[in-house]
Order: sequence, then C-alpha cells, then structure tokens
Amino acid sequence: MSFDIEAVLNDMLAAVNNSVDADWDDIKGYAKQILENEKDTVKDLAEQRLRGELTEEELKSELEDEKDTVEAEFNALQVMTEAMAQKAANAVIDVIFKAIKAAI
Amino acid sequence: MKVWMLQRKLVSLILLNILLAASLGGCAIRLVADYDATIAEEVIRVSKEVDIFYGKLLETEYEERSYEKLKEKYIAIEADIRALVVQNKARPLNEESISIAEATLEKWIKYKEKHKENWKKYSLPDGDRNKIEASNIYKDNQIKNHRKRFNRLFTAMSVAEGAKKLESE
Repeated sequence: MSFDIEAVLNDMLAAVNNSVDADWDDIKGYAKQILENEKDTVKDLAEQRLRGELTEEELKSELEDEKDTVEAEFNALQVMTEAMAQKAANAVIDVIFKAIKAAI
Repeated sequence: MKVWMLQRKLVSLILLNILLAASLGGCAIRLVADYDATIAEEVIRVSKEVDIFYGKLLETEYEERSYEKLKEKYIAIEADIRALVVQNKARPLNEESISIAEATLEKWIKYKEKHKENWKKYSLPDGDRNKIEASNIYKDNQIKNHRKRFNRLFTAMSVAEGAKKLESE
C-alpha cells in the first residue's frame, strides 16, 4: 500500500483551483453589477428629489426599499459563494477517496 | 515485522471502512438547495408578468391609472409571487432564496397598497383638501423606479437559482 500525501495534497489544491476559477469570475461580475445598480439608483433618486418628482417621504421610502433590494442581491451572491464552496469541497473529497481507493 | 504487518492491516481496514461509509452514506457536502428548473422558469415568467404590468401602466393616461381596474391583476401577480415564496420554503438549505422571494412579495404588496391609497385620494370629491391630482395616482418616475426594482429582485432570484446548478458535480 502506498499513500503519497504530498501528491494527494497537490491534487486537492488543483481540484480546488479548477473548481473555483470559473465561479469566482461570475461572483466578481455579479458583485460589480450590484454595486453599479446601487450607485445608479441612489443617484437617480437624488436627482428625482431635486427635480421635485419625489417628496421627502417618497424618497425615504424608496431608499428603504433600495436597502432591502441590495440585501436581496447580496443574498444571491451568498448563494453563489456557497455553491462555489460546495463544488470545491466535494472536488477535494473526490480526490481523497480516489487516492484512498488507489492506496488500498 | 509482525507489528508492521498488523499496523498495515489496521490502516487498510480503517480506509476501507471510510470508503464503505462514504459510498453507502453518499458522502458529499451540501451547502445549497438542489437546482429546480421549474422554479427557475417560474421566476422568469412572473418577472415578465410584473414587467408587462408596469409597462402597460406607464402607457396609461394618468386618469385611467385606476386601482380598481387593476385590482384583479394585482391579486393574480401577488399570488404568483407568494407561490414562489412557498416553493422556496419547501426546500432545505434555501434561506437566501426564501429571503429574496419574501422581499419581492413585500414590495409588491407595499406598492399595491400605495396605489390603492392614492386612488382613493384621487376619488375624493372636488374641494376635499386630501384629494390628489391624477398625475399623483401612480407617478411616471415611481412606475419606472418600481419596475427597475422588481427587475433587480427577480434577477437576484434567478441568479440564486442558477448558482445551484453545480454542473461540474
């Protein structure tokens, strides 16, 4: 029986990198989109208030709703992150079990 | 020599047990709910329904933005969004998607109630100091604000569902 722990560790690292790479780009892209949405919306609301298109009460309500919307978007980001972690963790488990199976 | 052979047998036995347990127990880490194609499609359908609702409202003359005329449509869409909440609640490891769906439902009800309130104020007799102008029943800029907001909320719902696909597994 042979179990090369160094080789297994390298395989585990490669599995994580391969798993995470594509997902990480998607997560960065969506995070950037969330921040741009937020910036554009708050600017737009402020301009509407300045033009008199929104009352003070309406602006306050819109900003509260904006907070909830951004929170929802970050919840979606959280799912993306958890899914990425799940894929990576299961890729690592797969490597370990294949190594153990080969060693026995 | 005998001790070494015993140790080797013990390690093999332990590793074999781990493998057996893993294959029998289906050992895999789960952090998110399984992907549901039906829900993913329903999110898109309801998102389109809401977008069309606001698109039509924007094209309607101020005086015609009657809550009463739109009441049935409001109720139908509310039911569709609530169904998304229920479907998401039925799945384990799905807290974030539940939260997004609940936020969407909360906003729909809030804007519906505000439209209802404004329509009542518009419907007051002339001279009533609480009466509002037709242009304030549901202002153009507010329709656009809310349309964009729902677009973002449904996008968040769709992104969250899509993330559960986990194609590489």
